[in-house]
Amino acid sequence: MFLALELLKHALACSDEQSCSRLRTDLAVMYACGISEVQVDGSQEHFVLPEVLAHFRSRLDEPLMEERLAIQAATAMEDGLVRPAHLVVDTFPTEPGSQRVNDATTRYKAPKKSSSSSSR
Amino acid sequence: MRRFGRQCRGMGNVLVTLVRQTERQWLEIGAQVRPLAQAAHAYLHGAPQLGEDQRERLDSQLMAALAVHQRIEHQSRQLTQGKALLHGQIVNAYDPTSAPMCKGKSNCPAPFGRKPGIIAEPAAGFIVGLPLPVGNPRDGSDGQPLIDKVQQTIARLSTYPRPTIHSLAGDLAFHDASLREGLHQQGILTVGIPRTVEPLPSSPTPEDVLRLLSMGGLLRARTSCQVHLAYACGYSRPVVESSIASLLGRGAARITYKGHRGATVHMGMAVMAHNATTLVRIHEYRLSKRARKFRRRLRLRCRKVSQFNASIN
Repeated sequence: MFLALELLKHALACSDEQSCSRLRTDLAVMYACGISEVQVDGSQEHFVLPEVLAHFRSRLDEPLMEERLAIQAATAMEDGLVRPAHLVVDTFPTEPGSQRVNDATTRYKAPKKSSSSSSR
Repeated sequence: MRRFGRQCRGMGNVLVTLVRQTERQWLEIGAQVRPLAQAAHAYLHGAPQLGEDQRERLDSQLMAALAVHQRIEHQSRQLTQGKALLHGQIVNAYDPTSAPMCKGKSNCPAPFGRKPGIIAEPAAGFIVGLPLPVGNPRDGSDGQPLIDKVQQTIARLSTYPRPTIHSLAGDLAFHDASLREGLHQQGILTVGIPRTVEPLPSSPTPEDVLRLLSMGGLLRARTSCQVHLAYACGYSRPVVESSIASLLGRGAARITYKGHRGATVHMGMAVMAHNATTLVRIHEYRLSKRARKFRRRLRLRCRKVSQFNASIN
């Protein structure tokens, strides 16, 4: 159920708090997490605490994630839904930032360029 | 690199003197950190109320924070104008594994962060493998490890005949002689990896097919039909962008989990969520015309006849 919640967090693009809250109120999320019958307790705020979800996440590591992705891909191939005959590969940047040093470099380079263009 | 746009290019009004003065002030304040950390370390070992496990955990956290502080301090004193930061240097105080990118746009600040890759099948956009290297090596170095990952996934299959990889496509960054040679030895066509900025033709001439097969030594391994399909599947920016946009929409644009392990978990979950959505689209046959055509050519499972009838009725 934790794994399903973690996946739903990314599928629905929501926070830990929101995904745990939706587990209590959203029937689709309950179904995805394998909960079929619920006994409602009004005093209980969460079925799963966001802290517990964070603790579960800290136990996930790189080999486990690779394993899960490989299982998903192998199952799709076995079911005949996907065939890796032709593949496309690419990279993309995340968490963009910029270096302070090169900002300074930019400033010092710019006058040189303008002076060389003006001399022509 | 497309996401870094033009807003950061051109003349930047950076007040270097102000930056240096502020830096000096911060370094003076930071000089107190080391004696404070030593005092905290001594207090930690003298505190009787702490358990052994708790003491070890706090001690390791303190030492890690101190090590990062020392590295940042050392790096800050070494900064010189006009020199790019190297790979081993810290660009984010809270995440030492974040690194500067190898390449960037000319005349603009070098970006830093992570550069995960994807290897996907172009028909529906199912992502088969995800590399997330430590640091930011050149793109071409991702090629062979990715193929190995896909081969390992194929080796898991219990059904026969097992699928084989016919071709690999990528952008100009993957144009590397050793990578091409390695792929040819494995019987994989490299039609979709361009050698120049010229766009690939949509379909090859018979002479092109023969030349490609003989050049890779794949005359017996691959058929002309497979070469035609490889040309059709050749690197297409919109196809790749749709998968990347889907990942970015699932939180991959900004990785919030800490460190390289956290980034792997975050990206892995985003990819699995994307794949789950793709499988639902395949089940419901909500695919583009191009994807449907590819799936027909690859003889992949389509909707059942009853479903076709239901949609007609």
